[in-house]
Amino acid sequence: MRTILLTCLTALGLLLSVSVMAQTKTVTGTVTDADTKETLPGVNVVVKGTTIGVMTDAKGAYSIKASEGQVLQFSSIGYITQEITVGSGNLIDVALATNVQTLNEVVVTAEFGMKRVERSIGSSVQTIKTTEIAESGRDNFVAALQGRVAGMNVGSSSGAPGASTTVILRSITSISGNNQPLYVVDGIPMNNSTFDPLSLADGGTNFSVRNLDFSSRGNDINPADIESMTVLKGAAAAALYGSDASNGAIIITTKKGTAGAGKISYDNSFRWDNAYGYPDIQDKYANGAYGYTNWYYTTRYGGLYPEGTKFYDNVGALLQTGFTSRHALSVEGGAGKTSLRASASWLDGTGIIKTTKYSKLNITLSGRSEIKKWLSVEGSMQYAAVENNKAPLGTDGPLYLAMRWPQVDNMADYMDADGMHMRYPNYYIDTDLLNPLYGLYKNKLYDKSDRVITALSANFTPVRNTFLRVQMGWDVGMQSYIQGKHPYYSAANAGTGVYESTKRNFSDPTINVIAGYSNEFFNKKLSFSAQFGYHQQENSVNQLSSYGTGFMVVDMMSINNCTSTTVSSSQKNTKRRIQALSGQIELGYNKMAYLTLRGRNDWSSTLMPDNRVYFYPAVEGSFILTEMPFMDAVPQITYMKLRGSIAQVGKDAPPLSIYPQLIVTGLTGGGYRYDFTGPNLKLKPEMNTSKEVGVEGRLFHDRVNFDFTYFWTHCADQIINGFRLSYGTGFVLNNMNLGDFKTWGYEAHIDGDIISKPNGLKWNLGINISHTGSDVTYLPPNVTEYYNAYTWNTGNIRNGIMMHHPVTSLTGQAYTRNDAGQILIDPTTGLPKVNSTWSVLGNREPKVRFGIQTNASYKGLRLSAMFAGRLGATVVNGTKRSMMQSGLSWESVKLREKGPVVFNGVLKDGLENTTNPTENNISVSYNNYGASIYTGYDEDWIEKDVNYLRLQELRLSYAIPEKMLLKTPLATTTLFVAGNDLLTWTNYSGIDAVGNTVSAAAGGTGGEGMDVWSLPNPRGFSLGLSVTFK
Amino acid sequence: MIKKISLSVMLLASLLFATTSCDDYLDVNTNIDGPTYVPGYLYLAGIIQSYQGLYYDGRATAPLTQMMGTTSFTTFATNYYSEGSDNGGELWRMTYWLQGMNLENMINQSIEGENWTLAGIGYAIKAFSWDQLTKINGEIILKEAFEPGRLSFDYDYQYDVYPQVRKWAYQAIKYLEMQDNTVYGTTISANDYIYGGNKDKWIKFAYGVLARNFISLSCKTDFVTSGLADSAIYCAQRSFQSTSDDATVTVAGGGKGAAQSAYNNFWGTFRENLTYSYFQHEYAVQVMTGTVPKYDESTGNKVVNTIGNTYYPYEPADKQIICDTAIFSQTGHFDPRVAVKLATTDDPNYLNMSNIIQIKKRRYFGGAFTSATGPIGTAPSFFGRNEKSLYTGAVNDGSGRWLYRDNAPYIMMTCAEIKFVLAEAYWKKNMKQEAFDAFRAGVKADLAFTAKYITPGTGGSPTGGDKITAAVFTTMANEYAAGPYVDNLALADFTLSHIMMQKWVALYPWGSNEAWVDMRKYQYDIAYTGDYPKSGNGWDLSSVSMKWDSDASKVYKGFYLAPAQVQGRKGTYNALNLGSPCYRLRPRYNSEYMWNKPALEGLLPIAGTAPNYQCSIPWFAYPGDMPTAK
Repeated sequence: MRTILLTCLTALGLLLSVSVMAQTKTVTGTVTDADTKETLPGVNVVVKGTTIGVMTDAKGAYSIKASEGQVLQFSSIGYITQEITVGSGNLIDVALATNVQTLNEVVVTAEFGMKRVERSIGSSVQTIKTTEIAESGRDNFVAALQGRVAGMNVGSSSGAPGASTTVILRSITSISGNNQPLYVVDGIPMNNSTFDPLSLADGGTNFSVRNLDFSSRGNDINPADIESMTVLKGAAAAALYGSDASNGAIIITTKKGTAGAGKISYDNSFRWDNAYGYPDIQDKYANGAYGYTNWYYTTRYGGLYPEGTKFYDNVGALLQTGFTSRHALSVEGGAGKTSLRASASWLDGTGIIKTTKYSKLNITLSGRSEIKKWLSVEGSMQYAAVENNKAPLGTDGPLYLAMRWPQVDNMADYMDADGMHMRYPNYYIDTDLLNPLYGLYKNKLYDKSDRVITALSANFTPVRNTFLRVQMGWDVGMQSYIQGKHPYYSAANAGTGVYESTKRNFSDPTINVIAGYSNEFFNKKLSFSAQFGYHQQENSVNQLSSYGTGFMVVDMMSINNCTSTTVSSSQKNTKRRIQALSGQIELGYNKMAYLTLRGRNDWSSTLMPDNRVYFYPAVEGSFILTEMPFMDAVPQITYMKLRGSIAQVGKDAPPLSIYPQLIVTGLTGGGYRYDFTGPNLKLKPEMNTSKEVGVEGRLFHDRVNFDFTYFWTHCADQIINGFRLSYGTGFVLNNMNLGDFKTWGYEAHIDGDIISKPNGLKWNLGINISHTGSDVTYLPPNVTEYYNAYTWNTGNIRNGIMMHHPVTSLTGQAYTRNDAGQILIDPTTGLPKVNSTWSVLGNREPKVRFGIQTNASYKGLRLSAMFAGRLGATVVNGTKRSMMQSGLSWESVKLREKGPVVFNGVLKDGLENTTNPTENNISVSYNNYGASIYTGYDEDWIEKDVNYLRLQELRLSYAIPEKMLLKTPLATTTLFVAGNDLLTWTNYSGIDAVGNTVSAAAGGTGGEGMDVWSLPNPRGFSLGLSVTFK
Repeated sequence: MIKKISLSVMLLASLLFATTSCDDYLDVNTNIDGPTYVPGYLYLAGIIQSYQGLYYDGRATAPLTQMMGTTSFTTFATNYYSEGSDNGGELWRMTYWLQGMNLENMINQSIEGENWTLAGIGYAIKAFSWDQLTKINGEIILKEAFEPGRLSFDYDYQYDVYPQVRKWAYQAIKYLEMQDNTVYGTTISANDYIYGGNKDKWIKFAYGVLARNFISLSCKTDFVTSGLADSAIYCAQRSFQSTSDDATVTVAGGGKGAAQSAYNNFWGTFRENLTYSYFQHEYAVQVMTGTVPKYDESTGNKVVNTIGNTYYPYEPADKQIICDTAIFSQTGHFDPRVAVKLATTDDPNYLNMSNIIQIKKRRYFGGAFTSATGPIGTAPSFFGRNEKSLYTGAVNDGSGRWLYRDNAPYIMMTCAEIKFVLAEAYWKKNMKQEAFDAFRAGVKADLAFTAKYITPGTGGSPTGGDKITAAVFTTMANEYAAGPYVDNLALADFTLSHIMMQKWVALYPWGSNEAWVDMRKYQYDIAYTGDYPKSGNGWDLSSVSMKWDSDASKVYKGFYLAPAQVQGRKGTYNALNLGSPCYRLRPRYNSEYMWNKPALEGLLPIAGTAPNYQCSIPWFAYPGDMPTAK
């Protein structure tokens, strides 16, 4: 089926390579760079004074019909345009010289697919080369961004295929809501939701963001379809894209094909993933407590294992070598001013945990055409089908369950002798242990999505210097989430089975209409442009969930197999609509100084009429220092821009946040009652203000690029959803505007060609560094802490937010201390005491995040590497705590064998705050206590100053010299081998220093830095090739 | 040129036209999957069924009244509280949220629609809930409750809550007595799981709430002089007349076949809440079997009996208040309620459900505060076995028994209780004969009440149920009622103890909240001088001095707090209690202690945030005014 599809697409592409109109003669040639002698693809070759034009191909070659005496114009961004009159010959080779002046005119794709001159932009913008994404070896283009953009943090909830990803640009702007940037594809906002397991029909009885993670919809897109990607950091982006871009925006432009000779390309990759870095389990002491072996216990505080005990690698029994293959085919072509591109890509992979799978099919059709001189249209349609089988996470995950399984028993043998029931381990008397392998093979955790993103835009030029752009787009997805629990996957095989299925469809239509005018005045000294837009956007969700239990056929996963009286279903439909007007005026003076004023006014459906209209302005300015005459004295600085911006952005509430909801009671007689959340008719939009200043430039003839930004953000009137207050409100939860906080920090980027030889040897090294600080400046006096309860996964540690502390704080129950800070010891037990209230224990945000990219190329060979790292992070080692509690770790053996211990501290005997507190001298023997003493206290599991460096990517590619391909149908061929996440250097003692205890659906500050049985990224090796056909 | 301009203009114009109805376009923020408004009666069933919350918190107050021992809510059994926990906070949740705005809407909509009956029912429910809430928690949020936009909520003192509760109850009576022209059809009768829409009974219910409210002030020095006693009498007389008036909440039951597990009674076997974590307390067994022991006042030890009774090795006190069931078996001495209210492991196969002799021979054991192991045996579960409740297997407890059944109604207030209220009020007014008459009516009402919910097991089958038939029970009840502890009690021997202890038995164990009100207003029978006990006068850090049973002023004979002077009661409270017994439950932790602390801090005489706030005596239990200083 897939093959047929691809063939059809190929045929379609070929049909469209319509031959060019007849002319007097054909002129051919190659365009090269005058300095490097490399061929230049994508150079515009136009017959001056006509509409005839072509582009050079990948090898810099062109072919154009022209008659003698006509003038050919060769132009490309960053080069001096050359004009050559056609003579009698048919061959014209051109060498284009680079031009600093024109290089300055680099444009970035910004607002709604329109382009802006880089020098006029007053906020931080970073463009990512799509080749880097393609070369990252990641199936998920979002994950591939980690380390590549200064100030961008990409967090993943696990190393499993299809894991959700959380992207934060600069810093969070919302305590409980969405903090991810807006993805805009061809001017149309793309849905990047992550399904929250609480939306399953059981309402979170079995799963929540802490133990189940579904893929983020942003990952659906095919990286090979992306032509360019621009990251707009900070709130400045929101002035035009609206509140959804208050955390920045990632602007994606898809490939629309190039006219000219048709091009067919194919590439593939094959990747093998291996798990690594799992902790050792001690094999000295058996199950039990107080030194006595007792198989009734899962804790390993029993006696010594008898000599010659056979041990099994039960964690190993879960693992497999993951294998992922990817094939992508694309065709493009067109004639004159019309081009078309079609592509198909197929990815199929298995994860390192048995039974986990991920597959993705993308089919894309796109194109553009200049229909009239005053009208051009472009459009794209992307279809993505994703399927994912997954394993639960955290303490419901296979890793934790395998660790608990007695290692004297072979967990791999998970089936009972009858071939149906879950087998219980030998020795172990209780029947409450769940065999994760049985769970993996018999339970169902599955999701599937079919999704289409369409975008269509038309550009009119009614009169000179004006334009009207109309864009329409529709992002539609049909998703299905299934959770099924086998009846025998239960203590004593005694469950009755659970099946729940949620169908969730979303539909996000968008309309943008933008009209603008631009011109230059006073001898081109003053440039002026203005544009106004109308925007309309809808996000609707339509969900139906069913739930049933009491399986009749035990092995059958279907709602139809559930006992009819247990089957229930519920639906949820929500809609959010935004209308907005936007405006922008840009003034430029002599290509040296620019001032841009922007504003947007939103009307949101989610707030009451009094509060739903909100305006937010932005102002940005830039100054090109190198335009000043005195800078000529410093020729090393080729280009330098100073910039700054102040922007505000309002943010509305999620749908249905205003009125309380009535729900059917689960009590005799039914009827209605209010749900947990109370009304708030006064809810108003959040208002974030962000300021930034920066400098960027190029040095030493553009060999070095640098960029530095410092930013401040103030987030006010935070809308906190599901916030608890006194039940005196009449409700349990509330949606309220509570709390302000500020963030600040810097982002820096520098890269340079360390070696750039005329013989083609090139070595480039680039570094991104960023730092973010934050501080909560206001919480109401009765609110001591806000936290997400799903992050409360180890001890009493959670992601608490408290006054005058960073928003990324960890809170927990600290040791009680005297005024001098010494730990207080209970004089009766000799054990430390902890506070019963929560206080801040650390800050999860590292002091510095950085990424290092480097690549070296020589002729066809290219070696690239990418490192990502953090310095000075605080990480909760929940895994270690759990292993200590259950006596699984060698550290627990050490503690146990240590003999009596005197805890460091002073006795709480009334003298603790005098000048002479009583030093603790009470010795405590671990052996006299059960597991609780090994579990320690919250502070024991907070690891501070964690440094971390990971070799994310290492890749070697080789482009076969074209000479060798002459007799083949291949135009270019590149082969590569690569490795992902090969090595990690860290002083962290747990599994995953970048572990995240909740899925992206948790929102807010999430659970990054909380490592509780995290599944780290596996080590991947891949190889593949990419070819284009003649 | 014309073409392109006109095309652009048309496009713009059509878009502008499309957006003229801005407000309609944005009006999509309503929940289309649920109503935004429901008629008042659709709230009623949910509001009524949320009274299961009474049983949730009964798990805290029953151990405090020594009705139950527990291995679960042990902090309450030891007169402390569960730190950082919502245990004991269900009435708070019920009153403010589960009933809360639902009840407000029901009342307000009904008044607006002139649906006086439904409005009256609403007010009666409101009065009942808030009366219970303040009695349990003392200071509560009244005036600022439900005020939109508030972040913190100040507390109102109990002396301000009490009049408001009465106002609501009078309002209920007023509305229920009004001519109501609404045609309700079955809208009320089908949703009123208490009285099926019977207005007369709701009026009696509202008077019952008032009677309960007034009588809780019987320790006030001005109880008689200010007319509170008369009010109590007036209201009690207009309240319940027979057990058919009892306020009970019917549930669907259905065990595991129920569509929702909460269709089953909270105490039934299916929901596994009582299971074996709660069991009858030693004191309950002493009172109901007539084995309140005689203590040697010099040592505090129980006097060992000399007749060689191996079942009951101690000498019973000379005068038992309820019966002498365990010792004698003469006609009229045996209180058959033990066979229903208490559990026994005897007759596990249900062979003697109609055999009076065998029924009388059964033995009952009570547990300690936090352990089923009592002084002379092990307390069984409420289902009569020394293990947790099971609803499946060869030997099981079926769907439970008596009030501990999946389909048993929740008991809110009974005729018996109201008669004892009447008796106590008369007693306070020194109207001994009237008090005695009310007392006798009360005992008989409780006997009838007890019989009503008997569901005998299956003979020969260890699969749950009561171990007595209703017919046999009634025969024995009639004998008891005519006997020396009820009708034949000499007026001269009739004491306040008879009223209060029979009331305690009548409230066992469903009405522990109200029994706790009584015990607190009589200051737990602590020996002190002056108005009320306090540190150094009634208790010190290590013990509470209790009145001896021989003290005529002692109300609850045989009752000793845990740190008292007698055998088996020589423990100590949590040091943070500073020696005091518990006088109130703390408000719900995740509501108040997390999010409303500043309001708690200001409370007097003990701040709500103080480690001994649970020991702060509520206003109703002060004979005079509450102290206004810390």
